Amino acid sequence: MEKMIFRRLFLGIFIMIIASLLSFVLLYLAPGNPAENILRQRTGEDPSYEEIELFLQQKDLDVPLLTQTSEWLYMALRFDFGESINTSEPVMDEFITRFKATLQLTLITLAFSIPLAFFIGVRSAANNGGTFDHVSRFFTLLAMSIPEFWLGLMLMIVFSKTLNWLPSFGYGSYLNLIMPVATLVVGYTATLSRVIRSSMLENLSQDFITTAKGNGLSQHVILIKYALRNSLGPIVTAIGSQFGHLLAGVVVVETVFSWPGIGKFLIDAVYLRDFPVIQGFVLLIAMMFVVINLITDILYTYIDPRIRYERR
Amino acid sequence: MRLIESHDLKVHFDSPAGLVKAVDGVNFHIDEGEKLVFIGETGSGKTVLGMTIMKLLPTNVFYSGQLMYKDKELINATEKEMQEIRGKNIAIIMQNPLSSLNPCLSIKEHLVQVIVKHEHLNKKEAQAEAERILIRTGIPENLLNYYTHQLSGGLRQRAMIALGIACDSEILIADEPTKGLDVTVQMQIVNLIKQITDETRKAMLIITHDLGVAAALGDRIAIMYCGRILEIGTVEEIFGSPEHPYTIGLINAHPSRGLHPIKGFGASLIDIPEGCVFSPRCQHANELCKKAEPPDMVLSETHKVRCYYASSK
Repeated sequence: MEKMIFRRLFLGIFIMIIASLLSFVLLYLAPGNPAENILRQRTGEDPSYEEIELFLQQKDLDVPLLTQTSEWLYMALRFDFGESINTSEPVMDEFITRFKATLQLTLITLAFSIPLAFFIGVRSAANNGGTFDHVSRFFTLLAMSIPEFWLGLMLMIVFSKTLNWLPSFGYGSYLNLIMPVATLVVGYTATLSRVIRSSMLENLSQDFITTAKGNGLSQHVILIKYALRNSLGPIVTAIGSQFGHLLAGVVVVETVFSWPGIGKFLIDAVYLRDFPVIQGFVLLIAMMFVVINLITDILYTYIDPRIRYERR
Repeated sequence: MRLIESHDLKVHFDSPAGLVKAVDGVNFHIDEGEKLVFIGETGSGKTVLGMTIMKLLPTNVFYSGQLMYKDKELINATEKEMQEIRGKNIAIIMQNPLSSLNPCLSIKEHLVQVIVKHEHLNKKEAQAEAERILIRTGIPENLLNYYTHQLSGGLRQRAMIALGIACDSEILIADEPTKGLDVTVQMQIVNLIKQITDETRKAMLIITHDLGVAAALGDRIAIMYCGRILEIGTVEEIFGSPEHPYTIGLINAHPSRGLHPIKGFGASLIDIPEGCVFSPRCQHANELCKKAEPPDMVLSETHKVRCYYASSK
């Protein structure tokens, strides 16, 4: 097990480096450069050739690509991601502030959507073909089909504009959290509850369920100890990937509610071609995915006794 | 005392291809301490019969006729009532232990679940009881906390048997208990079942297609074909003086008798042949056989056969 963890972490380092280099190269290939984009944003006019040259010189962007990359990599290995070209703020500081906001949104969303999804998914599977199942399938499909931006705007119209109960944007108070969390919970609960339902149904049709019934075990024990216990693999995978996606920033919701999270900031950085920010964020997000996947795999060994990493 | 008795029991399934008549008018009984074997080819309705007694069939099933456990009618029993009977009064050993046991529970935990449910013991007592039963079925003490995927086929089958006898039920249904095992292991399993059920004088309903298993375990044998019992009698009557052409065919198909196959294939349970169900494959069939289904001919108190020409061949 320890061996597996070390190997995975070691491989993870390469994955992170490759991910950030790829994002770097792809951005260079894309049209537009940071000087042009940032200067245009500042002044609102197309910058002259001289202005661009001066900007590149000031920001050390006129050195060869390979030098820039290797310097960045050397610094990144010591957890120094440099400064934003636009604001000259250290990338790491910005990341930590942004990450706090995103983490808050992520954890609160999952704290609501996971229990809710388990409740809906398990009951729906137990009631396969019944009223609860039909109703919940209809609403989960609906919830999955609603675009986040539309739901966010609708909530805003109702609760901020018409009823005037909640602030439409901002950060800091728990009132600010309600609408973004609600918007996210709808979609994530629906997706997860469908995974839980289908995984449960697959296991409920297995022979060992018939055996459990044949032993006179109650419906409750069969659902939890037999069907759900065996369904946890795909469910944990789904939760892991949802966790990763939420942490990587929910661009639409963050933009709609002006939430100061990772997603919105990263999109702005991409628009301005703010390379240090993009590379730093991509690297850190890749790191989170590596860690989450590792945790998921470790959880697997507790969930399914057939999976063991010792003998290899 | 009579434990199980059925009268004209029919079990039909609704399917897209039509009504599947898996069990179609079956009469049998099992007395206390008696072992009745159902023999038949694949698709003869024998497993469905076992599952009917436990009421474990899917929801597209229709029952008719009568099926009694002591004085309790099982066909109309509610799920709640069945939960009390299953495992406690009537237990079952399922086919294919690898898929029939929960991959996430150790074999001991399987037994603990059942014992806690029916015997009202606390967790600790239930664990001690589970260990005692597993060891009794010949599972080494150091393997009790193993999972099914870690055990050999023979040990899995032993664990399945342990689960069947966990609550000392009056009746044990064994559905193909030797399926998929090596011949040597089959022998051990048959001996184990025999030893345990003899000690406790447990009544059994054994489902198999293996004549050797039937001869070793059974007191009486019922030959099933197309959802019907074509012949039923004691082991001596069936092997010593078989009357139905199908029974004779089955016995002659055994390797020790020269491996003579029965011509044709088992009939579809949707399009059941008119007249005697075995007539399309029977060498002796005539016009009468093809027109009307023969009634049960009573040859002795225990021996019944569904053939017009019984004891005249």
